[in-house]
Amino acid sequence: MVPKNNMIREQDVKQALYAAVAVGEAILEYGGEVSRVEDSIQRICSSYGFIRADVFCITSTIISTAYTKNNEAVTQSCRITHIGNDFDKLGRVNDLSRIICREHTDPEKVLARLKEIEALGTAPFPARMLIYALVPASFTVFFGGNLADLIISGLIGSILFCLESRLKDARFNRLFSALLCSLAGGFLANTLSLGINGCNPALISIGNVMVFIPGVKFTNSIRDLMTGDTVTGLICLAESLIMAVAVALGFAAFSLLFI
Amino acid sequence: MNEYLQLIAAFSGSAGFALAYNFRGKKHVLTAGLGGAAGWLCYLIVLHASGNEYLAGFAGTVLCSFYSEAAARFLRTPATGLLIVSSIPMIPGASLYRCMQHLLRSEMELFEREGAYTVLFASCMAAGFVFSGTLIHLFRSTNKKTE
Repeated sequence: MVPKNNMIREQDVKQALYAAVAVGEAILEYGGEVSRVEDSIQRICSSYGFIRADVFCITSTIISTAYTKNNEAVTQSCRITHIGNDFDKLGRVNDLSRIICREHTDPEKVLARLKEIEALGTAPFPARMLIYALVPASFTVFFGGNLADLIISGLIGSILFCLESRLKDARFNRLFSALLCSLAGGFLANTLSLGINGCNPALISIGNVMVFIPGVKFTNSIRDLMTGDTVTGLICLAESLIMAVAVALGFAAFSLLFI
Repeated sequence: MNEYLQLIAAFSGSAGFALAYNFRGKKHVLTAGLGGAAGWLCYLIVLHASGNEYLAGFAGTVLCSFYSEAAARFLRTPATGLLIVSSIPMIPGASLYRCMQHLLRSEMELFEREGAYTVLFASCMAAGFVFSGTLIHLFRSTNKKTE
């Protein structure tokens, strides 16, 4: 326990800020918003007895400066390279940040708890394959597909998931991996539906597109622009548009060639 | 008939995304799926009543926001995940895709039309997020003061 408003040694100060930034980093990496990161770091810092904390966060960096009672400033920054979506872990980190604010948890314990959360697993591979079949199958029906479309769409979704996780393991460039998956998706949608009556390759494609197209990021980037997180908004807008071009290029390549 | 199917698909699509984003527990996943269906239902009702897609998108997003906030209280998780997942059926991913497809085929007139629709619709949804987010923030801060 760190006694409130009673931090003596310089090392403790650094460790406390480090823990706060690590919590912020985890929130961002598991899919939390930039404003949530800034808010959490500020709250944790004030619970550790800093009199003021200035936090600036965009999707790739966190910079935070905290001031002790003696007006000494400590600054730490953190580079974020990968942002995913894992709301189970996000919820746990969020709980952790609340506990820190309430109980002024020891920074070392915070770091240990973050490691524990990071080590938590996701669903097993076959289950994830089924999940990634469910999503495109649903959206194929959503846009008007029939039963045959649904089955083919789900099948392609599973295949693309396997391909994508292989590419991710090989640390492929994200844009290029999306392009490859989309190319494969467009090709499969057009060839698998060839022999089957009443199949609509466009609907099968659009179901699978929904997994890869950054629609959520695009919409959220406009929200960020409206709420004043301008830098984050512009970064996400640019990223999502470039990604959308890659996905459209991949899925459309086949039909561009043959129609 | 078509619209009932869409509601079911919106449910399973949102639930699917909830699973893909690693929501833990059946309750969370079902709540997210229900949110997706509720948002889409609201979109359809407003669309039929007013004939305006943008207004429908705004209304659907506002409903999703309040739904996620209430459900998040109930399930004790952050509202963000629920909000993202339940608004997914409305997200203009398909039109963003079609817009880029027109660009690649250099069909400029169609690209402009689809692009304008995508940007406007996404902006309406974003406005819905901001509008309800502000209201929720207001409720929260007044609640805290009275406590």
